Amino acid sequence: MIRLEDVGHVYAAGTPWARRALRGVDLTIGPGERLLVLGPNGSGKSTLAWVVAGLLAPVEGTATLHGRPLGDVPGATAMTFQHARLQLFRPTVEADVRFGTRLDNGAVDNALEMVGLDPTVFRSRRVDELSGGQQRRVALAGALVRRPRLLVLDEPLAGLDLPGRRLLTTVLARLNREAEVAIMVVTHDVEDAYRLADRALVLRAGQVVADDDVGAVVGEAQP
Amino acid sequence: MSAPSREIHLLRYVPGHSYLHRMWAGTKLLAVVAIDIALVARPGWPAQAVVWVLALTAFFTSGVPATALPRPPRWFVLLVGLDCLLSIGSGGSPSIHLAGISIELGGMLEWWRITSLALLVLAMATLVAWTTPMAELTPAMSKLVTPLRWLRLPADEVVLAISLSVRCLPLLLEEFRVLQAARRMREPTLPQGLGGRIRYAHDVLVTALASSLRRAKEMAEAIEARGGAEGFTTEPVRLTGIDAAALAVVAVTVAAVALLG
Repeated sequence: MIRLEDVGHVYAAGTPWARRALRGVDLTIGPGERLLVLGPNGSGKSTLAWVVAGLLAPVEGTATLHGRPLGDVPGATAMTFQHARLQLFRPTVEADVRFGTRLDNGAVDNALEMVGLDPTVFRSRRVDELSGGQQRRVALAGALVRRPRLLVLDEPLAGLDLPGRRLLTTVLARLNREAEVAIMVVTHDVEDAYRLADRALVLRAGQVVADDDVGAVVGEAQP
Repeated sequence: MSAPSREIHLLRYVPGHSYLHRMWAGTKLLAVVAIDIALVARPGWPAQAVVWVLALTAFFTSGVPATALPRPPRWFVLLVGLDCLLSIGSGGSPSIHLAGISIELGGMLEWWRITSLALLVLAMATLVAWTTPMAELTPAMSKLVTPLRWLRLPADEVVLAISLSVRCLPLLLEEFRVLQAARRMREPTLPQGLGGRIRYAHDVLVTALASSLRRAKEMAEAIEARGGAEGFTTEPVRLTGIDAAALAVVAVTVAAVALLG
């Protein structure tokens, strides 16, 4: 279980450019939970995602996984970023999914199947020849191959066409159901909220202003 | 919890109302270029001392807090220190005698002179960045290169290239931050040994380069689609007493550098 207690973060603290991104955030994410983080641009969503992924040490409060600081549990969380091209480090799909691990072909194929890519077709394909949606799924496979307990996705549907959005939404739902991976989706778009999560949290100016069932939160947010 | 990454603040504006903030951006650019050229031509200690006094006076009267000063990472300071030590090997007079050993300091003094010059050039550029909004730089540069247009040289293209480079710096830094985070997600433990570190740097740099080239291509296509580099709108320049005083100080400084250097 991931627990954030009174977490606050200030970028460039102690300089003229200091900017507070989070303030007093309390959050618990249970096993297999599907959480949606909503909020306008600059509300602190991405900072929260970085903290939960263990990539950023908050300057205030604590962020722990089963009582241990998040940054001290490598591999427990995985994150994919908005721009897939910044997460692909190897020329071919197979090499990229295996990157940073010592896994065999079976594990790589399994990860590709989980994200809906046929290994026999995609294993040897070059990553720069893939579409944006396919690149995003390769990045997702690269994150899943480590078998994280929580997957953090920053704007996973941004820039995808309608079929691409539907496909990725289905893949995420299946991952959560079959692999029991908890999922935290960060987005400013409520359109796909119902299909992505059961619970939603709304951030405004770095503070949590709502944390409830997705139906209640999205219903309130829409006019 | 892992340590927070050291944030880099290059060429960031610090809002204020000092005389440097109110000065036309073109005056500041002209001042820096004139003093830099003079310094590079006559880089002696007396000339540098004059410019250091000017730069420090400008900093202390600009209203920019000391917290804006860059904090270089420890590895960088160590590398510079090592470089300084290595410069002793160049020898040259004067020399000192310690415990029966003669140490020639000429090389090190030369190293200090060049390092001081580099710091001075950097300090003046930083002062301009701290006191000038990015949006004011392009029109000012466009005005300053007017003589190039008379000679039918590609002035607008040069201005566009410079202003895009400056504007894209924060984007590049942000992409680099995401890249490093993505790399850490995929391989949480930093590789050990020189080979591992080189492989790490290779992965991040090659991906950054590929991404930057793609972004540059997209940006170039967008600029072409909007009519290319031509047609910069430049507002009329209104020089004030502050600009006149600054240009007079710069003229005196350049003369002092030429005489003393």
